Amino acid sequence: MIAFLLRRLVQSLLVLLAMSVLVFVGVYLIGNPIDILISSQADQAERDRAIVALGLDKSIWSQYGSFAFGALTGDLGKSFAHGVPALELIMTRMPATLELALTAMLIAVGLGIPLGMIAGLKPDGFIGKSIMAASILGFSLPTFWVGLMLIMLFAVFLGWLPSNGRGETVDVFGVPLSFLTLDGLAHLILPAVNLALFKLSLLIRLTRAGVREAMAMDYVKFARAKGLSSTRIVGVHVLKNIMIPIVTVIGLEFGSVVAFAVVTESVFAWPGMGKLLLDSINVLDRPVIVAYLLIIVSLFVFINLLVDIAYSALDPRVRLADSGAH
Amino acid sequence: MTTLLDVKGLKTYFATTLGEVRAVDDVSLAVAEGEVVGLVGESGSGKSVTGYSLMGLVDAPGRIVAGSVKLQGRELVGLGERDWRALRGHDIAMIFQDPMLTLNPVLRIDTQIIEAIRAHADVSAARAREWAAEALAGVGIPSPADRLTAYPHQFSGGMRQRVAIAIALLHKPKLLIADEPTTALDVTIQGQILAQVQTLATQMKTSVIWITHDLSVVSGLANRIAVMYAGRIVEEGATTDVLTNPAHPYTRGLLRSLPSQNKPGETLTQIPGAPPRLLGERVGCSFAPRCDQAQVVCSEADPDRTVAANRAVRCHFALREEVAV
Ligand SMILES: Nc1ncnc2c1ncn2[C@@H]1O[C@H](COP(=O)(O)OP(=O)(O)OP(=O)(O)O)[C@@H](O)[C@H]1O
Ligand SMILES: [Mg+2]
Repeated sequence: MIAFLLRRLVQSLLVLLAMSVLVFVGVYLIGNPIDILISSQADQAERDRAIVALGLDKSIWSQYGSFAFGALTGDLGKSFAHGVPALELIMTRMPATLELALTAMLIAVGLGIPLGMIAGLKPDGFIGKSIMAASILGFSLPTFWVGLMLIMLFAVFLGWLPSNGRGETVDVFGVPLSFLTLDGLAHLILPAVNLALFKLSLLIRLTRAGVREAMAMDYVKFARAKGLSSTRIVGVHVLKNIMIPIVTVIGLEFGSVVAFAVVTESVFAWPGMGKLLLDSINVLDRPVIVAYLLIIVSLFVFINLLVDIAYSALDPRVRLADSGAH
Repeated sequence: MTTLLDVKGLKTYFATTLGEVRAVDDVSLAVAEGEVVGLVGESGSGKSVTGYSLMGLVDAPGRIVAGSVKLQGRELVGLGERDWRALRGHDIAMIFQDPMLTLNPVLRIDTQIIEAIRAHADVSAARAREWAAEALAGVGIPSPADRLTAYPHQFSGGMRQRVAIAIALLHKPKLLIADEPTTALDVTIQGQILAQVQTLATQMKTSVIWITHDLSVVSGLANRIAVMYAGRIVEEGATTDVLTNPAHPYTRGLLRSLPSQNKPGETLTQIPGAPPRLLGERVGCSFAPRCDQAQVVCSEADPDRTVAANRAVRCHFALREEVAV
């Protein structure tokens, strides 16, 4: 177990290192942030001062060196545009994104698994077929378009739900949360549903396929031959087997929900990290971009670890020591 | 002997895109109390589907379209799911061919035994555990109390089949349907399992339908043998009668293809041709195309089940003129 965790840690650090070099060089190649940050009326002296202040006068490698050195001590640099530490900037936006992503995932899991099971148990029934048809829509319609349609229908046309921002928030341990107030919850619904739709469809299909496969297995036939109730067969024998792939996918998809919240956040003006990233890319605010990506990668690594642990808890045939290779 | 199970004219068909597959087509079979019946036939002859039909485990697109299955006089065809559930694992139990697939890989052995106990008996958790350990001991699993907490993958194939047998026999069922339980195991283990089931069934006075494609497996085990071909029982009788004096050409073919029936070095005779399709209208005897004694009548008229001298045969020429083996 310890060896497994250590190996994981080393792997993750290597990934983070490679990532940061790529992003550093990538942003450097795209353009010079000075052209965007300094007004075109500024004189040359002013420009030079700004360049020195941001450290942009040095070579890219010495810039990377001082960044990496700072990163080791937890300092990811100051935002070019805002002048505050990039990490701090991201951390203030993170709760909004995590809240949105978690709610979306909750909707996707809470609806996706039961609907997928119904569709899997009665694949030829009207309900099963309707669920599958709906999930095809959820898969194929683009997220931003669905978001706009949701706003049109529920915010503009019916006027039931707000479509903009987080609404009223409550601080819990200094973290602002929307879902604890009625107004915040109302603001959360549309973006969360929008973000959940794709994952919901994915989970429905995954669960359905798993249920159909498991129901045809000998162990289900044997369980029936023992005289077990269908509740027990589906709820224990089938569910426990299909949870293995489902948990894996939920874990991996949660990372991508956080990462791809960008689209939903900009459609619904949700003040999360994704929106911050878009704004930062527009002004080539390199420290924020790098810090954001490092955080996302760390999140993926962390979730993968949790998935592996959950996996070994669910599947008795898997032992952690053997799974270090993924 | 009193009749335990009485199957009459059972037909189980599968609706497929190509048409109706007649997997079990007019099967009649009686099993007496405490009797072991060997159900023998080649792959695809409908042995498993017959077993599932007796357990009420035929799934769509399959359906029992006709016939009657009576257990101690009680009609089982058309029974509701609730009644079936009370029956399965309690009065009729079944074990399957591949022990690697029969047990749920993600549930512990104790979970899988205890749920089967509790499906039919209202006992305390402690008593259920005890019962589970006794059941494992009963099929010869060493240190059963410790093995209870193991997962299926920690057992060998033979041990897993023993666990499945232990589960099937928990409630001393009246009938055990053993669907080729030794086919996937190596020969020494096969013998052990065979002997184990025989001993336990005798102890519990459980009747057994032992399904196999291998006549030699049931020759030492079964009181009676039923030979199945293309969804039908073509010959049925006492084991010694059927083995020493087979009445149906198919049974004779099966016997000739057994290694033990031949002198060393002699080539085994195979039954020519391929197994029949079970689709479409039945015209004549389904074995006729492969039969070396087929006459014109065989491809024109479907033979009826003729019963004589403790033997039931479906052949136009059987039981009329005895043909030497
Ligand atoms: N779900 C199904 N759909 C269509 N046909 C089926 C289905 N299940 C079984 N059959 C058909 O029923 C026939 C009998 O199958 P069955 O499994 O009973 O054979 P078997 O005698 O047990 O063979 P084996 O020795 O290979 O186990 C086969 O020809 C098969 O094609
Ligand atoms: Mg079979």
